Amino acid sequence: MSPRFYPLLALVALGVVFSIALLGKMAPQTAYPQHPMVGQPFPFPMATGLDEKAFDFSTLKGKPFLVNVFASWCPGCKAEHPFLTRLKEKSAMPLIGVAWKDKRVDTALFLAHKGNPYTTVLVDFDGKLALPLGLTGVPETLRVDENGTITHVYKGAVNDKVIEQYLLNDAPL
Amino acid sequence: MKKHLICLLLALYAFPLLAETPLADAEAEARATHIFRLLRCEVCAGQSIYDSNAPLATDMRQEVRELVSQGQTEDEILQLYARRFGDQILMRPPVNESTWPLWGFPLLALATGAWVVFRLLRKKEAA
Repeated sequence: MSPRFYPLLALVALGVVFSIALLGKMAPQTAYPQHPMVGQPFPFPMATGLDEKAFDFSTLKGKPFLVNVFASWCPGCKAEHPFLTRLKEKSAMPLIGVAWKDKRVDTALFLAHKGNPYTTVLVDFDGKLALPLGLTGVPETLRVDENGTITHVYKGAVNDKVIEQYLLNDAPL
Repeated sequence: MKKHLICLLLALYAFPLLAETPLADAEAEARATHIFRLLRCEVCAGQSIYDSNAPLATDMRQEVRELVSQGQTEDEILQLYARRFGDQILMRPPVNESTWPLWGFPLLALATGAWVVFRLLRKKEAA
């Protein structure tokens, strides 16, 4: 082959390598992209409840539970609220609500108006509770197993499908 | 007076760090500030937490200051953040099997370009 074509060949080679890399990335290992916190231990911090009482996450050790981080100002949280309300009918797993960067009165009004689907409501007004969970926004829902390992993280508003397939039954979305 | 106040508020907005309480130890604050520049703001476009006004960046700066004053090293803090948020939290992602094209392709493209220019110049000389 004439050396004139070498640059073209190099470009084609680049394209092939790029395509392989891209296809490798696109191949679905799991249907929902895995959050870096999946597989890591839940930190079991001390927290404060909406009722201003202290709450120790360690009391939940040894049983699976769900954590839903929400805020009264967040549209996605309003959208997922009916689905969280219906969760009680589907699972007896405790659902811990964490009000993130909200005001106590606004959280209380939000729950009074829309109903309280949570076993316990905690507050994280300064974001310190959520930062070690790798949270970047609300809503976000985590599942922790009986060994204290985070097994599921769902970013965004949940619905029946996400709850039943992914969070409760571990099936791909 | 009003003008000065507006200027001050604008300055606070432009320099997020001015609105925060730095660490009392200037050397520790300098180390924390260096780490701010190495961590990406997850909710901003291409900004480090040093440059960002986002509430999440403020939280992260606060935590980095706490970790620095607890004696954690730069590496430990960066690793902690990478574990929580993934490698994309680092302004300079490490070279590994999924990021090597980021570092490799520019070099390859540069080498290809240099080679093409070299060939063209040689051809011109020969002509």
